[in-house]
Amino acid sequence: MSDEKKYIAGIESDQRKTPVRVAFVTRRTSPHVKAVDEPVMMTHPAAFLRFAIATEILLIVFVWMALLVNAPLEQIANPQVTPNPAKAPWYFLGLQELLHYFPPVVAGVLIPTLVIIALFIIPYFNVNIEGKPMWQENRTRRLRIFWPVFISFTMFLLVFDVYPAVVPTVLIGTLMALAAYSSPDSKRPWLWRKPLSFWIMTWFLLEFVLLTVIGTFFRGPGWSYVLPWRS
Amino acid sequence: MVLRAAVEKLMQMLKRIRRWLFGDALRAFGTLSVVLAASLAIAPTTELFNQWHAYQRGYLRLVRFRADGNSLQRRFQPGLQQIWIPEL
Repeated sequence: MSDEKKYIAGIESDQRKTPVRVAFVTRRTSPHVKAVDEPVMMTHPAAFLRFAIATEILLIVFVWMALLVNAPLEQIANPQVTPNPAKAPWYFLGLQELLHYFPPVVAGVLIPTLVIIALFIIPYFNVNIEGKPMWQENRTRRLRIFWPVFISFTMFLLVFDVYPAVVPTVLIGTLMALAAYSSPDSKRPWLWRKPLSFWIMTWFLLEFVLLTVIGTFFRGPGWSYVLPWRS
Repeated sequence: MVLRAAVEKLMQMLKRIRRWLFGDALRAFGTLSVVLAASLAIAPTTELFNQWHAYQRGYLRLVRFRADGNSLQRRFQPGLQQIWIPEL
C-alpha cells in the first residue's frame, strides 16, 4: 500500500552517485545574507522634494531676471552688411576662439567628435568611481604615462600658438606633478587625494571659462585682441 | 514695554506664517509652486496692460468712426513692429 519514494530528500554532494538533483529552497534553506542595519533614507520624498525645491527656486530667479532685464536688441539685420566680428552666442565663443587657432576641420569637426566619442566610450572603462587618489597605485607607471602626455599636449598647443589654452594646461599639469611627488602625510594632502577625474574636469572648466571670456570681451574687429574698457 | 510686546507678537506671527509656508519640505514645495505659477503669469499680464497696447486699442477705436475705417482696420497689424531709422 505504501508508495516507495524514488528519491531521497537531503543534502548530497556526490554528483556521480546522484547526477540529477533538485534543490528545494525553503525559508529554512534560503541563503543567508549578511545585512548590516544602516540608517536608510528614501529617495522620495527626502531627496526628490529637495531637488524639486531647488529647481523651483532656480526657475523663479530666471523668470524674474527675464521679467526685469531686457535682452539686448540690436538694429534690424542687414544682409548687405556683415558685422565685424560676427560673434556666436556666448556659450559658443570658446569654440569660436579655438577656431581662430586651429584649422576649421580640427576645431569644428575633429575636437567635438573626439569629445562625443570619449563620452560614449568612457563608461566602458574603469573610471575609478570610488574617487581613489590618482597617485595611490602604480605611481611609477602612471608617471611614465603622465609626463609624455603632458609634454606632447603642451607642445601641440604651442605649435598652434594656442597660448590661452597653454596657461590652464601648464597650471593643471604642474599641480598634478606636485601631487605626484607629495604624499598623504605631506603639507598638501588634499592635492594628493584628488583623482584623475578632478584634474580633467578642473582643466576643462578652466579652458572653457578662459576661452569664453577672451572670446566675449577681448576680441574685436578682425578677431584681433581688444581691451573691453577701451572700446 | 508696549512696543516690545508688539514686536514680540509680530515676530511670533511671522514665525507662525513661516512655519505654515515653509514648515517642512512639502509645504515649501507647495509655496514655491504657487510663487512660480504667479511669476509665470506676470509675463502675459504685463504684455496685456503695457503702454503700446493701450495706444493700439485707442487707435482702433479712433479709426472705427472714420469713412476709411474699414480699410484702416484691415491694414492694421497688431503687436510690436521693430523699425530702424538710420538717422536716429
